[in-house]
Amino acid sequence: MNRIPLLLIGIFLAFAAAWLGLVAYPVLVLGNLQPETDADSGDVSPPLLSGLAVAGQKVYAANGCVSCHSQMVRPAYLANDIAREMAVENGNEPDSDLNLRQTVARDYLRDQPAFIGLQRIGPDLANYGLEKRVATLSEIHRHLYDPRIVSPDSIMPSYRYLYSLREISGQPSNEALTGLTGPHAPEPGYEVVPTEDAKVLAAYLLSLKRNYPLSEAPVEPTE
Amino acid sequence: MDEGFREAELASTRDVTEMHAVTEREPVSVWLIVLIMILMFGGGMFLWANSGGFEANVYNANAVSWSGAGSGGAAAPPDPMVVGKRVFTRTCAVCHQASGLGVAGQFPPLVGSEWVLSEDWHGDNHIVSIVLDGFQGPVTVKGEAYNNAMAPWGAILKDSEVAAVLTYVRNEWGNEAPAITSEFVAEIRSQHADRRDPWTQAELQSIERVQVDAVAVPAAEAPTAPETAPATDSTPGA
Amino acid sequence: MTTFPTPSQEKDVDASVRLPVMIFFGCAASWLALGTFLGALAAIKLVWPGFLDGFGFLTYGRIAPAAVNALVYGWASSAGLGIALWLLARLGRTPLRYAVLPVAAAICWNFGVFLGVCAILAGYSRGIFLLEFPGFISAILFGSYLFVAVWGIVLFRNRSPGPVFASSWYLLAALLWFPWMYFSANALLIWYPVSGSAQAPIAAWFAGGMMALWLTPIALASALYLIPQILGRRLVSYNLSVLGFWSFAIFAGWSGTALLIGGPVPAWMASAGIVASIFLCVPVLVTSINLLGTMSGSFGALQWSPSLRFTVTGAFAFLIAYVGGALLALPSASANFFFSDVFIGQGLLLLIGFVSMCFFGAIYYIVPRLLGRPWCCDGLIALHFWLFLIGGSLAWLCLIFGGLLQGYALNDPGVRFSSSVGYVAPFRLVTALSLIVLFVGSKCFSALLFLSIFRALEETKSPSQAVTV
Repeated sequence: MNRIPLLLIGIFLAFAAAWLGLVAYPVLVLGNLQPETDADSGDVSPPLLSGLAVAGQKVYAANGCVSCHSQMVRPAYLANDIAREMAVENGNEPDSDLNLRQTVARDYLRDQPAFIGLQRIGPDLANYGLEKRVATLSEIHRHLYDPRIVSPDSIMPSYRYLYSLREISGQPSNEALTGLTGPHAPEPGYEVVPTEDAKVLAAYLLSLKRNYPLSEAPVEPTE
Repeated sequence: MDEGFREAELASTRDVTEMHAVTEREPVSVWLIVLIMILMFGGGMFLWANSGGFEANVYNANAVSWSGAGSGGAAAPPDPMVVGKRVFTRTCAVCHQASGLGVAGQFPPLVGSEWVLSEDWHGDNHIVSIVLDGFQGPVTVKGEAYNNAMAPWGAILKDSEVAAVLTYVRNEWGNEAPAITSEFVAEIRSQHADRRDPWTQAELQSIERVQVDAVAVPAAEAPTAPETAPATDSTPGA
Repeated sequence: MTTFPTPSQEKDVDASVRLPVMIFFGCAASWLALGTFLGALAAIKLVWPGFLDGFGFLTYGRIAPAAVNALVYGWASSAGLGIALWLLARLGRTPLRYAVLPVAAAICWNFGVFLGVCAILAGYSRGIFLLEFPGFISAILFGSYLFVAVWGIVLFRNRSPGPVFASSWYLLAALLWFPWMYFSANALLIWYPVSGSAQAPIAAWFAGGMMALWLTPIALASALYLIPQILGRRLVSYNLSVLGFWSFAIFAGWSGTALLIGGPVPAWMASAGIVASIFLCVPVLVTSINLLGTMSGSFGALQWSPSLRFTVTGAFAFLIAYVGGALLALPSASANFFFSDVFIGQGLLLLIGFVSMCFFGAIYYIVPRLLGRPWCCDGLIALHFWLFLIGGSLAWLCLIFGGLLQGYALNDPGVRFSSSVGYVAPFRLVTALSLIVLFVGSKCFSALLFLSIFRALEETKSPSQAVTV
């Protein structure tokens, strides 16, 4: 192999083929996907994100949540992701009809970036907002402030640095976290309130619901 | 390791380029070649079976079966309801909606439409013609008047795809009508091979209705035994 | 008629690349120590979440990406660029001119990595694997890379007439692929992000490409050069290396999307990734025949040559990692084990077992030639090798076996999620200890390197001591 122009052309073509297939094709085809509108109800899928949730994505990225939490649901023929999301431990009724399905490209239309993830050191969060166990603001804040209060054997880091501890002056704030116990509970006379970062992160987490209908991802019948 | 550990490292040996400058005859193991060929064959088969037809909107390779469910026998023809749904989603759902209900005042519904179900004066040949060559001008569907244009799809869809999408439309959302066969589509296509303009209601009404022979639609869920679609008996009017 | 180099020519060539290559190696050794330190810290936090808890810059989600980025961009890429420059100069038998530009670029590159790691710790991460650095920092990295790569290509263009050895093919390919890959990924995901629906395949392609299209070719180039050079023997099946190179070039780029099966990419993309991962076994087998086959009968040489010892370990890791990668790409395996520790183990085997071991081998070969003096402490070299071999294999085994348990638990909806964490906890504890061993090993390595540099500097200051080779 001493003909250098041939070597260079080969190196170029080998790379270009994969680049066209895995970079240019997604940009041109998947990148131009549009939301679907339901003819009857006028609902848009995927639904628009609130401004708070958009800001929350930045906090989610900055603190590396994606290092431990994926957001990708695989179809039932391949893996048991849907059954795990339906599990009782998430507070869902065993036979409840959540219309869970595999996630497809269009599900990430409004995500910037798309937090697919590579690890499940913690559970998948693709449908976190649907879990009955946690899906209220006060529960999420309690969980972020000290995960061991909510589930004792959790290995999630505490995000105390997203909250501020302050002395109660006059009336306690209605934003203050309630039900804090354990080593990081505030002393009497003090309260823990979420910073702006914590508020937008919680709003983003609550927005994680991927059970709207999409034509390319039919809901699979659950057993 | 210790003695000579360093000095030997620095001793100059013959240059690598020099050693490989001459081409030598080197035995190539037959087993290696066989192994490579088996790998390539296996990989190719896997890709062929799991490509989902190389469609951008097929995420579940198991959803579209190309190889048929039977083992050993001839490959079953692709289920027209599955292929039809795929074509419909890609081609028709933009106007007629995934629900088949259309948009009031703009795009006529397909659900229960006399055009789709070939009731009244409408024939199977009319609906095929509309898909192939498009449609324009005023039209009455289920008693409602519409006035819009539909693009011709004959140049884009193959006969089998036209047949599949019509079969799908005629048997989805509670519709029930015989399947359209590829042969029937081919027949209609050849009849109007010269046509360049979209049809109008008046023009179609002047063409005699022709029905495809009743062929049972294979159920969407159950894999069916291989069956060859019977050729259509219908002959052009008169 | 081709003339082959005399030792004095080789010395001139070595002298011309000394400064940029040594800067790359010195920075790389420091990044290795920092990266393994942060990695060990992150691993400890997985076992004891309360350890150094409650500080933003020490949270797991920032330390873990900082460690990976320090290892990939700081350690492996810096060392790889240094090795590429030296190999191209040596193989082309041509000295590097205007070395001041690559020197400046080397400093800029490492400064960029430093800013990037700080930015991740400070909470400016972008949240995409290996693209966590803020946009302006990846622009710095890209710019400084271009200066080094252009000089590498100039070295190749100015090579002395004669045949082109296989290592040069891989180096040329890596030097041309990396900027295209890094630019596309940054442009489409960081600088001007495309719609989220298109990001998954691009991110997967980039993450796979950083290993398969950037670090792997450099490590292979170094191993393909060192093993025959040190043994003074022709590669057993050199003609096959053409097949090895082209099949690698064609399939490596496609392998990244294999793990997205059932995910947000069309079915064909995941299937193409799976098939490419399986096809990669062809170049891997061919290259392994060349590397390990050439060694056969000469394993005694591992006794006296540290370069060979590291490189051969790397070659074994290469074979295991890529064949293992093909097995893990199979849908039934990835369904269970994707998202589990098995994939961290796979990444560790590639980055530490294969790439780092090959790079250590190259550095142990190159540095004495650049400094004109042999390594100072044999004991420290041996310690470095054994610490890395033991720490690396222990961490790998724990991640694989723990990950197998974790994977089955994750994919069984009857098992509570917290049990999947409980099963791997003891394995993660041993992994954390092994990463501390790796940290100690990398401290040995950097101590050795800096000791050699300081001694060489002292000798040049006091000319009474003659420089002996």
